[in-house]
Amino acid sequence: MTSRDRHLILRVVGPPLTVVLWAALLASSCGHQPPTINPADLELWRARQAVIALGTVQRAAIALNETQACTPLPCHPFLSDAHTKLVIDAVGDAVTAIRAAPNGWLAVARSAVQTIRQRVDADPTAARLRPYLVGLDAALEDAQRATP
Amino acid sequence: MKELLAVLIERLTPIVFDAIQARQQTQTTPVTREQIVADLTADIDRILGEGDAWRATHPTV
Repeated sequence: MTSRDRHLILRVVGPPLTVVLWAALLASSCGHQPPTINPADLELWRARQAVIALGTVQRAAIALNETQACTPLPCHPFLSDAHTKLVIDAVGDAVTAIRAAPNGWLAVARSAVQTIRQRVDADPTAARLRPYLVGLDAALEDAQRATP
Repeated sequence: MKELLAVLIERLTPIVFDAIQARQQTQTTPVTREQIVADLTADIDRILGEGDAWRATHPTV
């Protein structure tokens, strides 16, 4: 993560959400494969790590959508319905593809991140999704590094 | 603003703890291929179900 990323996180989402993000990053940085996994099954295990990370981003998006922000008035979802749907659609497509072809988990998950990132880059109101993309990137990197 | 932040923390903290717990479980428990497939399938079904449940409450989005 670059200093620019960290600056964006602090500026866009504020300290409390950054704490949440760093908790997720800390968890992913401690990743390692289970003690008795067969090397032939490692890609399948990595696919599940990616699915867990994708599911966490979706749950966070839904939680942010359920949270009402009243500054400025009128009250509105902290994450808009449109941006929540963007995350849900991208995550749903990704996990469906991973179910069909688990060994392709990395390309599929990165494609989901890219789909969301393109929208975030094009729409400043979607910027509060950016820290979750950074966290998802970190989790995918971590899963990819696990070796027998 | 403080109320909003408190609500955000309240909503997001359990999600992060669940994710940490799920990851730790996969990393410390001896597993078979069948178990990984079963867990992966259950995770995917849950994620798709959560997405469908949200869509059902937001039919116009």
